[in-house]
Amino acid sequence: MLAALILSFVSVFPSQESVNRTDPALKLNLYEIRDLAERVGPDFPSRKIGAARPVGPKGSVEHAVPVLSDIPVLSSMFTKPETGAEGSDPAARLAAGARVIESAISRLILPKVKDSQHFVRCTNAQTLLVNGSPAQLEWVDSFLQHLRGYDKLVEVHAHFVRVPNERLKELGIEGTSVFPKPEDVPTLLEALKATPKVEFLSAPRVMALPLQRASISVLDQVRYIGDWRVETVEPGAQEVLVPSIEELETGLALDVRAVPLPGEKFALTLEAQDARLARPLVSLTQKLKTKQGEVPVTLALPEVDIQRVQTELLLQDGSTAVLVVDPSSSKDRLVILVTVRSVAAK
Amino acid sequence: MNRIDRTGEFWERVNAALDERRDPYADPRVAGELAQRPELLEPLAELLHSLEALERRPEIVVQARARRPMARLAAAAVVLATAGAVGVLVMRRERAPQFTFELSRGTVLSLQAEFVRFDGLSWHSKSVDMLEGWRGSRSVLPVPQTESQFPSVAVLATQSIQLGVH
Repeated sequence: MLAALILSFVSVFPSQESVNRTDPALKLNLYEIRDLAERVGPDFPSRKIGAARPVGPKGSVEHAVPVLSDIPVLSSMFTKPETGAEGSDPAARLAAGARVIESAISRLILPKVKDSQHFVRCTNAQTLLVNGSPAQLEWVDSFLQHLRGYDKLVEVHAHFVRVPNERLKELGIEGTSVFPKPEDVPTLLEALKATPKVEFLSAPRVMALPLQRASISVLDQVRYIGDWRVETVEPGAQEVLVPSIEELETGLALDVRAVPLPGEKFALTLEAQDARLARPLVSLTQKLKTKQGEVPVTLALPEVDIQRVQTELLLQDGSTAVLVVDPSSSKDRLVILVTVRSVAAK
Repeated sequence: MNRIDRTGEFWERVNAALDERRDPYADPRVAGELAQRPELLEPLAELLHSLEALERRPEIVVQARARRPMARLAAAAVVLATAGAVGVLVMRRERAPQFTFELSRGTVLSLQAEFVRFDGLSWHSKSVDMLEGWRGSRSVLPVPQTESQFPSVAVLATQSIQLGVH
């Protein structure tokens, strides 16, 4: 088994021998992380809130209008394009879980990885290979030990608030920061509620297992006529007008993954999407050409505002990060308060 | 409260000043204490008046009585200034809750945002890296009606790249 691992390692990292000759202080350690990879759980596609899609057989309609699904968006921090079919394949799920741990260690290891001589890789057998300094290997030991012993849940509470720019300073919010005292957060929320023109958008709360991705969404589904087409059907080779119905999801979706770290800290990956539909929908009347002449048809033009936020945070247990996002298209700022805390599992 | 409570550091400094034939009002600690506790002004004045009556230190008492109006005015000014400063601080605290931030409690490693507005015919998208500044801006602009049944054929237009044509 060990020989196979070393062989696979040499084939993947052929320069390892010369690496260690260059820096004899580095040492290669192997860690079995299959148990932790299993705890990561299944991944799933991220929701695209605000994206319209046709209802009915896919590809049955040729859109004459640009639809929301055409809009290129930020790629998800969770689901990568090459990891689409992990839900059903246990081996692929394990490999994906191992990649999550590998990625977390690569990003969080201390001292930081500064060059290619240090590396963190995971084999398909969920064996983690770490070539690092004694301090780095000690950190990995501590990290994995902490993960294995962690038996709590992680609660992530986010507040999404729209605040006029000129009010931020009055509220004492200088910019994206981290609150030192959890007891200050209710004070800030009360101050926000008492401030004119401040709009609370949503306040989702998610309870997650460590390492696992958790998702919550509150959605409205709206169906509308997005297009029309003319089809010739029997009997009588008559022409009929067929509406193309599209479905639009608006609301809020929140995706988080919390990785507990030694020292009562969390590495938090968070994606939030908020889509709002202007009501009532704008309608557009057009004339459709048929053999009998032009026929007026009406379709809907949904106006949607979408905000997507992706962030990575390193927070002490019980701390709150204040994220100030500037859309630059208005005088308002999107303020997101993210609190993470451990909760005893019952 | 005993109005002639002559214990404590305040009165010790007053007595020391009198013993050394100095003006107690000139002692900064005494003046500072008076600014914080204006109720001490009256017993101090009574003390100095009684000393005058006893004529134990006539020159000091005369000097104290002569300087009393100015000293009281100065003390009152100190009191008013202190009260004003405290008031301003209180008002500022009420208007703007000040929160302190601490790096040791956490770090924001990355923060990206995307804002999309779709009006049914065209869309505008803006991606921002809030920790590094503006990352990019994209938009779709509608073009005049073509032979299509609907005025909806759009061309993707950006500053540098074309994202696609529908």
